[in-house]
Amino acid sequence: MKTVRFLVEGKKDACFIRALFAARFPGFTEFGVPESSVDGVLLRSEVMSVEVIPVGGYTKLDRAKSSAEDKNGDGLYVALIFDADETGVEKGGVADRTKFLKEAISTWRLLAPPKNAIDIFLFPDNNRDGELENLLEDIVPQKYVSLIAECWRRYEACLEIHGGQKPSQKSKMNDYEAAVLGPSVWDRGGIMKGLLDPNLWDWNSPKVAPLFDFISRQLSVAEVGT
Amino acid sequence: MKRFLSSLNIVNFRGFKDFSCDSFRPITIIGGKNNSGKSTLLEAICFLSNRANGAIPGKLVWNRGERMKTRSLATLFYGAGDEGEITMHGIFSDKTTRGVSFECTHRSAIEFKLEDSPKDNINERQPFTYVQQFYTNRGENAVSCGAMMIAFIKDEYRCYPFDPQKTGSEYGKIDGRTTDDDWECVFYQSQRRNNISPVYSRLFKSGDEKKVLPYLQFVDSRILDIAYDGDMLLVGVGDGKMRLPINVMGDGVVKAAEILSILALCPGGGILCVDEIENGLHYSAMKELWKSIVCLARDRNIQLIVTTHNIEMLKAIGEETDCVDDGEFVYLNMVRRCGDKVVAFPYNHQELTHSLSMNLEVR
Repeated sequence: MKTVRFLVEGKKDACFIRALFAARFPGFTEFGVPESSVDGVLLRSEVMSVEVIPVGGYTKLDRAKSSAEDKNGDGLYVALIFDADETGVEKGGVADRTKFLKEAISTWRLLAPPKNAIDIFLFPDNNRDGELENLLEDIVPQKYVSLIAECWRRYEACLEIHGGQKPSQKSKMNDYEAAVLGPSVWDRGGIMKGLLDPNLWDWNSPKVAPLFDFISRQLSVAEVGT
Repeated sequence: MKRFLSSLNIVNFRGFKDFSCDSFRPITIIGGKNNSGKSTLLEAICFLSNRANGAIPGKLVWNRGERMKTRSLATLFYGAGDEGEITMHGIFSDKTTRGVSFECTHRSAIEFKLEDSPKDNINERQPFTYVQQFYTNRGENAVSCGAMMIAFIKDEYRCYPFDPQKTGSEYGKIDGRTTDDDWECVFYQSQRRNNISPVYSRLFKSGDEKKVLPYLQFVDSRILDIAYDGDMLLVGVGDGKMRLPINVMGDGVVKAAEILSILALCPGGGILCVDEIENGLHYSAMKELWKSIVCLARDRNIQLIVTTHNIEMLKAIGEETDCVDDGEFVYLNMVRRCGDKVVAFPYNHQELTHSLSMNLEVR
């Protein structure tokens, strides 16, 4: 069976892709974890497997090249879904990060390369600087928008007045999940509970479209590929 | 390391239809699922390295626990067919090459052809043929191989100059050398079938036990000294008043003593192959054993080729091999793909430790 393998930065990114498949790709069912990674996600349709494999960040990509090897020879298609991060930060921003990742891929000497040219998507939308949490903020449903737009904005303003540091985008979204689901979201594996809760996110938001289109394109390439 | 096997091609041998790998390093770890060819790869390296020793095909069959029968050598061929030719070619880091081809010319005869570099030397070494005859005498199995006679007597596996006038039992009376003498590559198996006592005997005769002791103390710091009583290794522990037979020590110490002794006797520039190194070891002993083996192997300029599919052993190897240069180490993940093709995927030290830390499956 053909496999489409998405290499992502961490477990949270893998969980996000898993939630997106549950919401927008009804032909796929979860099958636990793939053979190639204990922390990964395995989904299957009638014609192909999809694996989402965390590789530990963009700086570690070159060490994870074995994740792009078609070890079993069944037909592998690989794509990267990473954070764009901010321009000015080391190798950050859409242009620099894309260049860095392409260069890293070009140094791989694979024994059993994937059947496609490895495609790259950068959070939040392959166009702006940012990270997964920026996309998460974009798809907060209307009924909870005030938690960010009002409560969190006032919290940030208060911190600024009293000389505090601006919190990260990650903590903003973590606190959003806790605000809706309660403190139990911090229990073991809790932060993943938030990502998988369909009430917390608007999966039909136009902001998801670039990622949805990117994933759909990878699946189509694999489907028609030899 | 000055010179090590860097590349290998194997055709028609055991489970390998056609296998190539050019990623070997002075410290090579091999992993993979059951039946992916890990042990066969070690056998092939042993075969190629010791190709001038006529005992080698029989020893490989014997080491797998098979009784020597007329058709036993067929199991060395891909698909157990004894058809065609087994060929192996190795390239060393200094660009010298080594090759051997092997075929059954009829049901009970095998022909070896050797090929070495530099090419000029080939003509000096005549291709030679070993004719194998099998018979049983007083319960002893024996194989005669043209230039030499190999006898299997109890656990011992001995090699004697061939004399067509002698019967199998008469060979047993000759003080022949063991087939482990002067081999360029030593193969330490996971399931011990051979008596290790001759190794200890040679270790003490040569005075090389002094090389082993400090490394054995890595594994168990209570060990004060070692001695040999003509039959087994004795280990001085505690206050030094008592010496215990090695066999009453833990499996980790026994295994360490065996591997380190073999390493100490291995010819410099040679190869030590260890199959399933983790067998019988508690995970806490793995780091110390590995550290000792690597240190002694580097001191003695010996290439280490080791198989394991134990994740704790791999982690221990990853941590304790931190000091080696990247070019010194490789982990090969053996995978049997569709079409019965075996591929070895290489990981350098950084890639292996990263993959282990990220829970990526490397076995």
